[in-house]
Amino acid sequence: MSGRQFLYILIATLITVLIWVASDIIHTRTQSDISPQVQEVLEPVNPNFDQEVINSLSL
Amino acid sequence: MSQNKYYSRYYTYITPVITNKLVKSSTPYIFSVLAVTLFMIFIIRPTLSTIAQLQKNIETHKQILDQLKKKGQDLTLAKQNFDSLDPQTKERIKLALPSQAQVTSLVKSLEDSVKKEASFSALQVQSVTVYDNAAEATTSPNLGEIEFALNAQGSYQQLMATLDYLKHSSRIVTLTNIVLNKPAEGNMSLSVTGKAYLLKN
Repeated sequence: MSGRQFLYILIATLITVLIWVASDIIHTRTQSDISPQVQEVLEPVNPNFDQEVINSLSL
Repeated sequence: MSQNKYYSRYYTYITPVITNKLVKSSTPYIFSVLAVTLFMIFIIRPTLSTIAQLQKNIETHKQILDQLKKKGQDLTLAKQNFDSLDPQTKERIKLALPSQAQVTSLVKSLEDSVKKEASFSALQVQSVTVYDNAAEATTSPNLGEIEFALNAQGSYQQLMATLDYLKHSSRIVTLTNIVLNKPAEGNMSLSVTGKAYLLKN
C-alpha cells in the first residue's frame, strides 16, 4: 500500500469520525431526559372551576 | 567490538524507506490526519458531547422551571378561585367528593334518592376502608371508588323518577348497570349497580 492510498484511507476515516461526532452531538441534543415522574408533576392545572358542573351538584 | 552504528541491521532496513521521496512527501500529512483523527475520537468528541449534554440540561431545566412557575401561578389562582366560592358551594363539593369513604352519607344519599318516589328494598356496598388514618400523603391525590348495588320497587314512573334523583344525588355517583324487571304481579323492580367516589389525599 502506497503512502497516497494510506492517506486516502485516513481521510475517509477522518470524515467518518467527523460524521460520528456530529451525529453523537445531534443525538445528545435531541434526546429528552425528563423522567415520567417529573412529567407527571409538570402536567398543567386549569385554575378555573367549571361552574356548570358545580351548579349541577345538589345539596 | 566496535562497529559503526550506521551499518547496523536497523539502518540497513530503514534508510531506504526514509529516503524514499513519496514517503518523505506524504508522511507529514498521514501523521497529521492520524493525529487529528485520534484527537477527534478521544478529545473533541467527548468534550463536544458533554457540552451538548450540558446545554440540553440547561434548556430542559429552564423549561421545567418555567412550567413549574406557570403551575405555581395556576395553583395560586385556583386556590383564590376556590376561596372565593361561597361556603354552600364548598360544602356541596365536599359532600360530593369527600376525602374519606363516608359510607353513612352515601347510604343516606342513595336512600333519600330512592325513598322520594319508590320503596327501598336492598342496598349493598362493597368492601371499603371506612377511615384510612394511616394512609401516607401522596404527591398526587387519586380517586377512590366505592361500589354499591341497590334495589327499589315501584311503578315505572316512580322508578324513572328514582333514577333521576340518583343522577342528582349529593354524592357523585356513576351508574354502571341498570336493570328494570316487571314481575307477573306487583310493582316493577329496579336493580342498580354503580360507583361513588372519594378523593384520597
